[in-house]
Amino acid sequence: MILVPFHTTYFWLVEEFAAASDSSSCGFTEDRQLPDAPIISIIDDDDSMRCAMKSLVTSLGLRVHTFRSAEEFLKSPSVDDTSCLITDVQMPGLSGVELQNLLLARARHMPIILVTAFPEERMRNRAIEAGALGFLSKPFESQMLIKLIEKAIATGPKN
Amino acid sequence: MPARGATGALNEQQVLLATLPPSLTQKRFVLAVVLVLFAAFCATLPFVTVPVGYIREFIPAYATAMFVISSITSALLFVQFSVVHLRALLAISGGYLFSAVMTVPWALTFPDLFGETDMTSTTWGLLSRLWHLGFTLSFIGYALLKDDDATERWPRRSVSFLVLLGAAGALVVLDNIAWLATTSPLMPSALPVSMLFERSQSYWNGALLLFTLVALVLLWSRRRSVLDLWLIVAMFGLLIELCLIALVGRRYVVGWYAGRAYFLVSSTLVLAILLSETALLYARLARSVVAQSREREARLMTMDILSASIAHEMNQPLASIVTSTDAASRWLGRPTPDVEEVKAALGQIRNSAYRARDLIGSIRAMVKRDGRNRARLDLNDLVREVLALLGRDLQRNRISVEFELDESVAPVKGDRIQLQQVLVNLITNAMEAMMENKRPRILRIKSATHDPHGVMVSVADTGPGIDPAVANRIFNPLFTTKSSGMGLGLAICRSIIEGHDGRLSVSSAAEGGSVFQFVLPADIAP
Repeated sequence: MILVPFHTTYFWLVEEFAAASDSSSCGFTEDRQLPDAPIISIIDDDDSMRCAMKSLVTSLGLRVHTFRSAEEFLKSPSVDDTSCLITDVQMPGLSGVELQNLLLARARHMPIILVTAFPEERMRNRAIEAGALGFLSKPFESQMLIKLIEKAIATGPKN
Repeated sequence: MPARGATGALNEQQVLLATLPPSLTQKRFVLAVVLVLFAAFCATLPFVTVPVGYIREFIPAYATAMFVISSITSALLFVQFSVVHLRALLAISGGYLFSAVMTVPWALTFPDLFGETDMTSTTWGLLSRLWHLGFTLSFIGYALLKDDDATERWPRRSVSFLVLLGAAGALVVLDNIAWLATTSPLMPSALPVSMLFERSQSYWNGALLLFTLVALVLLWSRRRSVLDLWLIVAMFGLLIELCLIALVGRRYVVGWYAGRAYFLVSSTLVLAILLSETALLYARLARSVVAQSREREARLMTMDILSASIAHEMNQPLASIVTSTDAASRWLGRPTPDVEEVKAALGQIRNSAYRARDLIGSIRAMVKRDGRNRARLDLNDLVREVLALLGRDLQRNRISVEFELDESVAPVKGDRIQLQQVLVNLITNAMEAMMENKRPRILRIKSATHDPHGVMVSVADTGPGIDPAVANRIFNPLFTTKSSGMGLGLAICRSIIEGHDGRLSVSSAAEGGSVFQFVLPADIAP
C-alpha cells in the first residue's frame, strides 16, 4: 500500500526525503541569520515545507530554528526564547493543537501560528479559541504568514 | 437470454418469512412435497378400508406430537407477528395455538382410551370437527388478511396485549371444551345435542372439506411469500386427512391411520421449514451485519480518507512550492540579491514538483494495480453485496431499490475491492443526488450482457440529472457539484474501470435523473 491514511503512516517519498536531508540544514539559509534578531521556531515533519518556511522567514531578517516534531521542540532551549512559533498540525507524536495546549498548560505564552494541509473547521475554531495567532491552510499565501509573524514580534513574547 | 427480473424494495420484506418472496427452488420443493403427499394419498386409496386394529399408543402419541408441533409453530408465527404486526400472522398463529390446546381434550375424550360410550364417542367426534374447523378458519382468516395495507398494521404497543388476548381466547375455548367433555356424558340435557351431531355428521364433514378447499384456493390465489407456500402444504395435508376420514367412516383402518399420519407429516414439514428458514435468515442477517460494519470501516478507509489523504499529500508539495517561490523572490528582491538562497529555493521547488508528480503516479498505480488481486467474479453477486452493505443508508434515506439482474451474464475478471468501490461510489452518488427529491426516490440497478463480449451494469437515479453542459467534465478529477467532497470519486471510478479495460459513461434517464453505466469485458473461460 503506497497511500495510507496520513495519521498512521507516511507517504514513502516523505520518508526518503527525511533520510536524505538533515533537519538542521536547508540549503544556504544557515549562514544568513542575524545574531540578535528575534527567534522564530518552525515545526513541520515535512522537510520541503519546513525548509521553504525557513527560507522565507530568514529572508525577513529573523533567526529561525526548525524542528521535525513537537517533542524535539519541547526538548530544545528554543522553548524559552521563541518570539513566534509556527507549527504544522498533523505530525507524528504530538499534534500542533496538542502542543499548543501543552504550552498553555506550562504557561509558555508565545504567539502560535498553526498551519495544516488538512483544514477542519472544528480544529480551527478550537485553536483560535485557545489563543492561536493564526490558522493557515496549506498552501497559504506567504504574505499572510509574514503579516502574522510581524504581528507576533510586535506583541513580543508574553512571558 | 431473457432477463429474470427481480424487483422489489430492499427492506424487511426480504428478511421475514411472512413477506419473503419464494425462490424458484423453494417453489419446486413445495410442489414436490405436495405431489409426494398426493401420490401417497393415491397409493393409500385401494387399502383405506383394510382393518389394522386398535393401536393403543397411536392417539396419545399423535396428540402429543401435534401439541408440540402446533405450539412451536404458533410461537414462531407469533414472533413473526411481533416484528411485522400483520393481523394475518396473528390469525394463523392463533390457529396453531388453538390447534395445540385442542389436542388435549381431544385425546382425553378418545373413546377407547377411557371406555367407549355414546357420549365420549360423540364428544370426541365433535372435538375433532371443532379443532379442524377452528384451524381451517384461521387459515382463511390469514389468507383474507394477508394483503392488508402496511398502514393498517397494528401499533407496536398493543402487541403484548394481543398476544395475551389470543392465548386467553384459546384457553377459554379449551376450558369450555373440557367442561363439555367431562360433564356432558353425565348431563341428560347434552343428549339432544349429541344426537343432533350424530345426525349431522356428514354435513360437518362436508362443511369442513368445503372450508379447507376455500382456504386452499384463497391461499393459492394470494400466495406471495415462503410462508404462504408452506401453509398451502399444511392445508393440503389436512385436506387429505379429511378426505380419508370421510371416505372410511370408521376407526382403525388404514385410511384412518394414514390420514392422520399425512396431516402430521405436513405439519412437521411446515414446522421444519419455519425453523430452518428462520435459522438460515438469522445466519444471513448475522453475516450481513458483520459485512456491513466491516464495509463501513473499509469505506471510511477508502473513499473519504483516500480523498483526504490525497488532498493532504498534494497540499504539502504545493504549499512548499508557493512558499519557496515567495522566499526566492524575497531573496532576489534584496538590495544585493542572494543567488545561493534563490538556487536553494528553486531546488526545493523542483523537488516538490517531482514529489507531486510521484504522488499522482502512485495514485494511478494504486488504481491500476494489475493482475495481483484480479479474480473471476460475478457482477450480480457484487451488486447484491454492495446493496446489502448500503442497505441501512438506503433505508434511512427512504430510497427504494429496484434491481433487474440478468443472471445469465458472463463473469468478469477483476479486483473485487476496486469494483465494489466503484459500485459503492456510484450508488452513494445516486443516493446523494436524490436527497432533495420531492418525487419518489428510486434507485434502479441493472445488469445485462453487452455486445459482443461485455457485461454492463447501470445505476440510475431519479435525482435532478446532470447538466449537459458539464456532462463531459464530471469524470475529471476535482470536478464536483457537491458542496463537500474532493471531486475525486468519479475520476477514480473511471480510472478503475479503465484499468479493467472497461468503459464508464453517463447519460440522462428517460424520466429524469441520471444513469451511470459501466461495461467490463466478459471473462470467457478457456
